[in-house]
Amino acid sequence: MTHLSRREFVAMAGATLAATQLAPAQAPKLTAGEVVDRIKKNLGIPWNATTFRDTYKIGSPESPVTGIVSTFGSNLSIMQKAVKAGLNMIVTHEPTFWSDADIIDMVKDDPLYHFKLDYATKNKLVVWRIHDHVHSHKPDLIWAGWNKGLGWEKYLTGNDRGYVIPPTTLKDLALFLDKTLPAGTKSIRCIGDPNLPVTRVATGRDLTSMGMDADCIISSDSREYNCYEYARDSVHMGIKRGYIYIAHEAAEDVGTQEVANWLRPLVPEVEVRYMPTTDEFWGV
Amino acid sequence: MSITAQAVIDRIQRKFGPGWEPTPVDAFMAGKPDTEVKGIATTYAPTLDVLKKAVASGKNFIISRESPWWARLNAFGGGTQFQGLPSVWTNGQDYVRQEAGAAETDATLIAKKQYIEANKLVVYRWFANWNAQPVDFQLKGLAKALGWEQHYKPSGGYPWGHNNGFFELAPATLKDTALAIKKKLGVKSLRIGGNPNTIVHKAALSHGMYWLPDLQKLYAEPGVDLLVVGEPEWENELSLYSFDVADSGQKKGYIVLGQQVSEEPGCAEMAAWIKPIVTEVPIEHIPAGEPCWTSS
Repeated sequence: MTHLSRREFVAMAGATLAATQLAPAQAPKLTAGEVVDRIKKNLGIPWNATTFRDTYKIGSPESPVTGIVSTFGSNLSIMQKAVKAGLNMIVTHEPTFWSDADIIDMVKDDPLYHFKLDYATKNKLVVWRIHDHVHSHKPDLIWAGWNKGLGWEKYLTGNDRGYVIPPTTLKDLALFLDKTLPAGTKSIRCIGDPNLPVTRVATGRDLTSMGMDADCIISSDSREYNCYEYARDSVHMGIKRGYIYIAHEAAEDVGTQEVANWLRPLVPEVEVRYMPTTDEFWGV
Repeated sequence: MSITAQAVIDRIQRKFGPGWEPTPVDAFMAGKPDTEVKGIATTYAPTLDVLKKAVASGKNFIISRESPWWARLNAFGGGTQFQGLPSVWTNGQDYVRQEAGAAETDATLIAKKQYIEANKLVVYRWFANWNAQPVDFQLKGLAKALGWEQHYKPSGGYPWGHNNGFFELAPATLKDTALAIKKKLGVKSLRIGGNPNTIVHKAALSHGMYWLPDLQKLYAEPGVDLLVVGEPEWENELSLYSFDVADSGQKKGYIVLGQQVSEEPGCAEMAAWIKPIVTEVPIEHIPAGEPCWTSS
């Protein structure tokens, strides 16, 4: 391994910062490329250069960085908040132009694409996505952030996605998530008896995870036509299991706080701020 | 006069005409095609609950939009919903994983199979060819359920055609419009994006799963200030598109109904479509109902 340990790196970066303060005129400005290089060197896993996800979406390695926002989705509202905060590099977990591979062909004639791109360019924003590599990091930073955010590290059963939590009910667990997750879960939806006793919790996503042996499965980014229909058939046949479906951002946004915490010591020159991508849905 | 399940499907294909395409989607999913039909139920999803209601009312043939086995993987190559989409979406491992079915050993799968066998039920899934008709009956059914039929203002093209669901409504706030929709459809929850006080009056209505190109087409229609849609494919991308629309300063609202809520009324249209050609047995639409409750 050629990369520096985090401690060595922080020491070195601190020295750089001290030198910067002594001689600001000669100080090289922090660039997006430098930030990305430091991320790559400190991940502890080889960089997969074939990823279509973890790339620049707006801006380039030469873009100067005034501060960094770590967030779930590079929404227009996040860009607006980033500009206001004077932090111009958005490190996003999910896409910018509404498809997993940010396929420009699909949006090049869309006025909203141009509005967003123009806004970002005018405000000298740089958007870089890190998805695959924060999930491959040991531990998965997004899941580490989920565990920390819910205070559930102590309830892990060994498998990092299963928990035994203090006894509660399906409805109270849903309310707890709503209250605790920074993104909020306004689009929370449940299947099962609201009063079902819950202590063994699993996390799922697709149909094959809906039959797991647990009192409650917390799931996000699930398809309604398969997962929800399976869930209600299971409940109807008498299996004592409940389902809580939360928005994708509610499930993963909290993890981008951990990404910010991980990134902060690598770039002591600028502020690294976690900005929640909130669930913007409301109900009547 | 008795009639078999296969004979019912033969009559459906005859009424449909020469354009019927053989697909892996439109097929018997359970039971024997030569079963004598005592009654027909159409539904969005043949849930255990729907099957029991069918049995209770003496019906043994279920014609459904979704599969009793909760999977759409068999839609590959046969369905219409993946056409024209970038292969990076439809060929990805992730996508295939999303569409995978339940294991053969799954307790719920076994129980459902047993119930269907014990009650000698037949389930036929009618999806791709039903969708392929020039009139989008799923759209028409949903518009009827909303009480919007008389407000229909097609954007040229084929009336009641696909992605041609545009309506001139009495101007009202997004919040009041959402409340009216909730009441009319009798649903427990809607997910709404946009400023509650925005006045909306021209709605684009859609149903089922939608993709980015669908959203773009609906938003591009001149004057549209309200989208009422079914289920987003990739929630984090498509809902975020609509939030971006609102955050870019456009005064537009966005209401997500959910897959079942958006598709169920069209399944009543399916029953009405079949009724004139199968007079021997009763036909009824049995709604699967809204799958979820909300904690708020």
